[in-house]
Amino acid sequence: MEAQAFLARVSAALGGASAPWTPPDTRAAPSAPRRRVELLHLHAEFAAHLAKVGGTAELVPASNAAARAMELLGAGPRVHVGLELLPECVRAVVARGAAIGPDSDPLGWRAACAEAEWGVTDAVQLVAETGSTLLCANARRPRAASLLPRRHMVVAPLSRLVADLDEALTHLADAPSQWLLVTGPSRTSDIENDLTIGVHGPGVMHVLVVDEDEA
Amino acid sequence: MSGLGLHDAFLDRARHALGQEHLKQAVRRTTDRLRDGRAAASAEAGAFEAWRDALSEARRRAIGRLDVVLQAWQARAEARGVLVHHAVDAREACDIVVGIARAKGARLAAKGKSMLSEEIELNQALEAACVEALETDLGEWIIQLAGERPSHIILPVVHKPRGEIRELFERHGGEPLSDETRVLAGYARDRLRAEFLRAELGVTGCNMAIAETGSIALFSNEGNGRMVSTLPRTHVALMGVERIVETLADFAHLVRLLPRSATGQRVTTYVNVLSGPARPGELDGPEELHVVVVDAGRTAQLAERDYRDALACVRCGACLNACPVYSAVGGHAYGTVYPGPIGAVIEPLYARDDERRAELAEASSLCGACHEACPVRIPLHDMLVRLRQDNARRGRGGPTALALQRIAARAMAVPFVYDAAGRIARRAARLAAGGGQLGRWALGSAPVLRELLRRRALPDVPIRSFRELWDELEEER
Amino acid sequence: MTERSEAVGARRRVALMVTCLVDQLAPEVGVAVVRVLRRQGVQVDFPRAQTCCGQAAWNGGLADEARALAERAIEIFEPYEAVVVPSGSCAGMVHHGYEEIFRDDAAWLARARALAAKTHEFSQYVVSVLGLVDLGAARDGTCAYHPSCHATRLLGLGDEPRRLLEAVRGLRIATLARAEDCCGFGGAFCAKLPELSDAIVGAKVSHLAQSGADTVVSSDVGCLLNIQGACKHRGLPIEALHIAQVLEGRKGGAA
Repeated sequence: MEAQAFLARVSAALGGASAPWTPPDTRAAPSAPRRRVELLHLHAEFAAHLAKVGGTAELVPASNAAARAMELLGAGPRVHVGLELLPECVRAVVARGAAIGPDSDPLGWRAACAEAEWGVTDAVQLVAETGSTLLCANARRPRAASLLPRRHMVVAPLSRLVADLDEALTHLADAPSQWLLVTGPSRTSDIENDLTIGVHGPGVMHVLVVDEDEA
Repeated sequence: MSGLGLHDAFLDRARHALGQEHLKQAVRRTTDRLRDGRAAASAEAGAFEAWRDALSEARRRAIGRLDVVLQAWQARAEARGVLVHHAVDAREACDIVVGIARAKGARLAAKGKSMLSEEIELNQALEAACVEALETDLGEWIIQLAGERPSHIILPVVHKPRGEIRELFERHGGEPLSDETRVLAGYARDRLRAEFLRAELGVTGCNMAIAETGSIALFSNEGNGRMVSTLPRTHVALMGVERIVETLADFAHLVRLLPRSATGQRVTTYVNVLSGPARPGELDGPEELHVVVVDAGRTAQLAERDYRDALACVRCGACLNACPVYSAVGGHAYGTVYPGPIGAVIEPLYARDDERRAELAEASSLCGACHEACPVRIPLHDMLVRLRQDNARRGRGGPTALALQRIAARAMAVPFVYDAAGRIARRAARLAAGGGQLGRWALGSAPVLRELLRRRALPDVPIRSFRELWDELEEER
Repeated sequence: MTERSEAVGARRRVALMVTCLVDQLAPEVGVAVVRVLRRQGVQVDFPRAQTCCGQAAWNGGLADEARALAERAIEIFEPYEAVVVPSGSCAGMVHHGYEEIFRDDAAWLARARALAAKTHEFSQYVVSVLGLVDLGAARDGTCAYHPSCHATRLLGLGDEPRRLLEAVRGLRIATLARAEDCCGFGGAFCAKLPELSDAIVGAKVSHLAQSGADTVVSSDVGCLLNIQGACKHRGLPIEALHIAQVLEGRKGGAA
């Protein structure tokens, strides 16, 4: 059915056309950056909630971030996205090891993701309330890196922690083609209510929260 | 004589379910687990009731001006490259999806879990057009292999023991497997992975659209919904016309309440929000994103004040888990796509002339547990009563049964008739309890009670009613 | 004790809405309510014209018949200063169902609301209006409390019955698993879908058996008749009592 006719049926069912809809005011009030102590509290909350659903998070000093990442990633095939958007200290992760980034052709990229042991991504935000990582797709951040590999590592600086969903969502009014909250490894309880981890998505999810200001 | 006085199809299916011990236990175990999860999640979240108020308000606000909200959503979605289609009924919806599949030369459609797809019977339509429709949610895939229907909105396969699942997979793969969940889930992962990469078309539902950003949102735990909306070149999302909120702020409440109400999770593993196909320069994501907005009886509910609020439903399944009837017999007894209290309300509304769906209004003790569990506070118990009134007005329920009920109700309005009828009924019951022929005859003439009395001991029926005792009670003062 | 509590109820006068179920099948519950209230000095009237609040007709889909009964009940009870109902379900009907019945009739809706404002389920009246918890009752044994669905979900009855029971001397209160679950009565539901009702009450009975209680107490006679019938049928020696019957008791043991 034509859109106009379809909407006219809806209006009729409502008893007449509604007054025009106005979008909400999304200009977020400028907020001061959080103090480190607040961020550390948010990290603790974030890590606790993520742990409840089988994910893990650890706070690492910037000086040690690359080494720690490499230690976890091992020598298996891996892909990465968005890391160049991270601060200098974390970019080192990209530099080391034979990883495939989003500069390849689409089919090669997809095959690399499907082969990868680890997919490494950044996160736009870390949401303390739920232990969620917020990922946004764009040209530098294709989607499959957090989907096809067997394990998913998120690397993000401590400053990307936000308190709750409301705060996280205020940053999404400009609507990337995809935004995604990932909270823990893929799971199902479809078979006799028995929880099992790692069905279609990655079976491991680890978050490296990089502390840039550690004393 | 029948129990319901309608078709008794529900009663027959319920009897069948009650005869299956595994089914009964599996359903009970599942609903107990899920409602305990919900109870724990609501107790843990200090603001749970405030969130319910907020989400209830947000859903009703969007539905109360659905025309302009849809319009705003569509304008923003189209600006980001979404191709929006509209379908008044199931046939139109299927035609649109089949049309897209044909235009794309698709041979395989990989599907994420969608109740709307079940409702419009999309798989059958795709198969008829020589497009293989493959369910990829673990539970839905099992259902598809078994040739069955989901028995729960969010856990489609609660009724199936793992042994049967193993046998299905063994038949499918031709190799022996074990009963272990890990092994069975691993088999599904391996088999379906290749299909995700092969499918030309991905089909999903839409948990909720967001007008503010022209988006659609998919909630999932397994990740298959992400696969089918990321890997195939074309993604088609089926969206019920009522599944929309106005703002991201409204959506935040859904993110909190949908998983908590459904399973007690704080958040689902994935909340996937899509605003258009892959943009220039993006390496993956679909080239085309189609959203098919489906009415299929929903707009009619919008016009009915008694039932409009049912459109606020977010399909969490909490009312199923809370319902004593659902917990006793499971979803298949309802004989409809949507089971449980929400199914008993919306299924008759989707098809007003369907007598078999109409009788589902009786499949409730009106205990109100559904309303109590509903994250958007839909008064399902009141709606079931209103549906019973609709049935009575249409003469559904069998003329004899209705007439008897009516006579009883009218007798209640005349004290001496009420009094006399009470005396006679009590005497008959006492005689029956004493084994008297007259009493047995009297009770036998009330056959609706016969089945009940096979399962309950008769109460000690008093000789005198309270009103007959009153004068003596007055003298006690 | 007794004298102080008599002062509490003195000069109070209530009409008893006995309910058709209590009237016809459990008059002893009505008797217990009257005796308990009188002991507190409350004067109890029994408007003889009363029959049924209309709930059965309403839930059965008979809107016109239900409305006629509701109008009757309003006319009969509105002259009284307060109405006491030994049923959370029927009190819930007055509070919630009448809102539904009269939603399009402002004049009747106002009368219905005025009646609802002074209509109390029995334990609600004792605790919230009289302000009493300890009525000096005594009973040996262990009881489980079954909160009826309509009392809690339609009427909004809270912990009043539990507080009253806790004050009964000698009475232990067992923990009843999933106490808030429906017992499967549902008025005509149990006759229309008897097998289903039986499956639901079966869960209630097994929870009762596990609780170790010798008595199940509720504020609704419908639930009690249903549970009692199911217990007897299964050979489980559990007595079903309305809360007023427990509060009426002064001696040890079942009355």
